[in-house]
Amino acid sequence: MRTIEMYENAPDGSTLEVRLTPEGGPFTGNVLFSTSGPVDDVTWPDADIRPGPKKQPLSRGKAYMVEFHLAFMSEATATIATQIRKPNGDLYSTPKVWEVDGQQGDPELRVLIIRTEA
Amino acid sequence: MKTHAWTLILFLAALPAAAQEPRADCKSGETFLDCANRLLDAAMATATTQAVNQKAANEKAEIAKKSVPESVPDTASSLRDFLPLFFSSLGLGNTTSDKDALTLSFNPELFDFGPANPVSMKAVVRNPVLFEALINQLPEAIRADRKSTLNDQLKDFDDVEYSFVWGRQSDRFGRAIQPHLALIADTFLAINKRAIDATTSDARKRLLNILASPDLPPEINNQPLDKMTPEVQAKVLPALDGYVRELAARQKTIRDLTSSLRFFDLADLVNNQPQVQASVNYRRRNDLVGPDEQSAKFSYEMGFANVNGLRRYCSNLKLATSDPDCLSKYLAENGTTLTGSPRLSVSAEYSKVDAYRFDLPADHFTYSLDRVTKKVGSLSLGRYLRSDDNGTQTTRLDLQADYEDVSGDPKRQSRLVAMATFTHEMSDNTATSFTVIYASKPEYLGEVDKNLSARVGLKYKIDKKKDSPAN
Repeated sequence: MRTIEMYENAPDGSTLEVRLTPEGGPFTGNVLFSTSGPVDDVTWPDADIRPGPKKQPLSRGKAYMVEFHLAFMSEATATIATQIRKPNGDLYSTPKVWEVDGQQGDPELRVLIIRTEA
Repeated sequence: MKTHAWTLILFLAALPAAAQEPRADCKSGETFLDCANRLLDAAMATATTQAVNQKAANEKAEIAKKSVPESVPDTASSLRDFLPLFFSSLGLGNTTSDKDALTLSFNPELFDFGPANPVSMKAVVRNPVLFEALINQLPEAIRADRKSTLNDQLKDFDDVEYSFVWGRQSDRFGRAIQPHLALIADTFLAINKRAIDATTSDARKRLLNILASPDLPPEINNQPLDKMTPEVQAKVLPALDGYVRELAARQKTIRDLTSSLRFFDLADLVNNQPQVQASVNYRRRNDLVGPDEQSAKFSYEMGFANVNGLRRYCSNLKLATSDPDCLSKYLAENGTTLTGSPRLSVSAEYSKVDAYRFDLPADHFTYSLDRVTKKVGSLSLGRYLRSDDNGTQTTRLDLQADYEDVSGDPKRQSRLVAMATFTHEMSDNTATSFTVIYASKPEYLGEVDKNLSARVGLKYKIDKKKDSPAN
């Protein structure tokens, strides 16, 4: 998995699900969530995404950016798991899962870009 | 007001990167994601170098290790074949064994005292061995014969030791990081918000709006960017370049802020939290193996710059504990304390060996021992005094006082021994130590290199570490 990953053509009305695990791991993470158009950015704190899932509805004709910022207090592996669920509950495409290895003093960055169907 | 000032400073610092003209330099054949990741890697190269340097600095920093002693040493290899299977199949816990003992570690969930009160319980089934003191007291003429006979009477569970350990893990006690994750998360979030305020430009929104545009193909990542129409390229590439620069600037700012505000030192503060632990041991033995024993121990250990101190400090300043400025100020005021890693440790132990009697009526043999009780109190305080030019702590002072009172043993009754030890590590991996010892009675002084008086002596030594290149 690369630092930046992407979903395209996500169905209208689908839902993004974000999880950060393990719950008691020696690290913290938060998300800067941005939406195209005149929509304010929002921050999802650690408590929202760990263990999650944080659910975010996705609308037609939009683009979204999910910036994950992690900080490790000691050596650990954090798992960021993202998936998109279609309105009927089925998974869209395949989940994007980052296994992030870190040590004390490591801030880490991962980005998910989502484009929905026009 | 302070937050605004920070924001302004960081924004100005990030301005050169953010203000540069977007430059599209995706390579031929690259998809949108290929290009985005390569550009980001390049933009963050400087930050990565800093990360490597930071990691090297962290490795130099001495962090006192979490000390949660196990009550019973682990063992390995098999002594009783059926018991591990039985124990595990009932979900009671896990087993380890070696040639001398089988250790049953009970599942902590069986003792649900809540997450703030973790406990561990173990049972060590030792391979029974005849009580050596007893055998040595047998008349020599019958010793070998009786030893053989008594040995045949030993059974699997004739020497079993049970141990129970409790520790406190909460936001005030214990060195587990979990009770402090909320504080860590809030502090990091506050730092991130500063970094976002300082580095946000219109690049992110610009790229998002372009990616949402119906003018773009539904899927832009399934073909190289240079195969797209010039119009699409002209829109996407500069926006992507601008966003990647913003992203790299934000990551660098987060890295700089976590360093300047000493965010990661929170881990050291957690490691200095007071630690309370209590343990109880019971060793039940067949008379052939020896007397029964019981013991209980309580210990308390703490460092002096810790999360509790941070909470009090921020409360006095009427700041949130998760305010990075409060953390930074606290660490600035207690920097020496944190560097010196002072530790205070207090422990008290009581143990008892039951009275013992063994008879062989046919041989008119009796062997008995009185009950022995032991009380031990220990107080120690240690800290580093200085570091070398590389930041490696080199000189340490440790003060320790032990009081011991053992019934039935005149050499260990009301015994007080106090020591002050200076240790200095030199660059050639050699450590020199100098100890002043005081004993409450001359006979407790032990072996010393120089007697200053009947009750005070000196010990000094030079240790060459095994991994020394000189060896």
